[in-house]
Amino acid sequence: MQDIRVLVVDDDPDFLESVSERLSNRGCIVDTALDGAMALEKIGQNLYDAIVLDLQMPKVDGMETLKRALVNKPSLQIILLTGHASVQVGVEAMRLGALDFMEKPADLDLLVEKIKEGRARRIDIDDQTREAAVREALKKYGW
Amino acid sequence: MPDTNPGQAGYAELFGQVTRNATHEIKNELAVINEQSRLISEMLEMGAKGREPDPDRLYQLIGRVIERVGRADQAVKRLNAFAHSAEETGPICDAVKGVTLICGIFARQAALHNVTLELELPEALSVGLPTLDFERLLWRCLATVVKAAVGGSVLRLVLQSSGDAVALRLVGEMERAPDALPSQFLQELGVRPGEGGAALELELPPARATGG
Repeated sequence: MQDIRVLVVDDDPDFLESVSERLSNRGCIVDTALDGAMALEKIGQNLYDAIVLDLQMPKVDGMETLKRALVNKPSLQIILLTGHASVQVGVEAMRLGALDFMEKPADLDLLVEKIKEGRARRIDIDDQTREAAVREALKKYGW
Repeated sequence: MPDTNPGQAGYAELFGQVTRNATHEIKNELAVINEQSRLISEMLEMGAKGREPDPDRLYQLIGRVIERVGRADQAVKRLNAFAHSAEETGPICDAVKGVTLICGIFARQAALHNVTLELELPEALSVGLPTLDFERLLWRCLATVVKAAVGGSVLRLVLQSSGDAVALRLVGEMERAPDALPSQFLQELGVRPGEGGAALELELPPARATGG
């Protein structure tokens, strides 16, 4: 597995550090953020294949971060990770455009599979967007 | 919830909120312990394959696991102490113990609003309220005030004797005025609004000597 860029967002530095190291051991290039505001800043500046996002955080929580991130970058693949999953929150997250919703403690190998799925979907969406832009340009100039 | 009076519904609500907060906290600690212990395991596995782990890093991770186990244990103890509150059915309660317990459980909720709690308590003080009612009142005060507090600020809870009553004050930097507590709820508990510059100020009934 090469060149899979992941942003992990969690307000607990110990959790962030351990998950990041375990993902790095599996070949991911990992970036981290301690809150939603920091995550949105990094999302604005970098290209990630997937975002692993904690739900309960101070300042900007996971759901709000999800909404704001997808407004600016609709092809982002976001996996919500929460200490306390409920069907209601899971359904809401998926409705808002999350790729998936996992409960802590998560099986890291399963999380890596989801991240790979996210990468494939992101590439697919970006390809479709590029194709649509080319088609639009061709149509515009009557080619 | 059928056939419950407002008081019973209030207790059920308190138990729900306290349990939800405490279990969130415990679950979070368990998640960190899980990640750190699995990382240690993976480092040792890599060691078996010839990539020797750094002993200092292993000690550091093990130290953190021990620390997080301690934090999880504290959270369980608080939840257990709260569960025992239901057994204290007398007309007065140990206010210092009640504040320490409820603020301990509420701390995570406050942290999610980016607010830090600080307590200013006397050595010992009792109030003339059953324990669960006092805890219910405290929880509601904290929830109301934290929502209105400025993010990144410190909220100070001050409890002290005040004449023939007990004064409970929540002092901190507010973004807006906190919602007023329902007067029916305060009347039900025999609590009066206090006067002062605090974000929320209440006069609680004192503990009166009984029997004799």
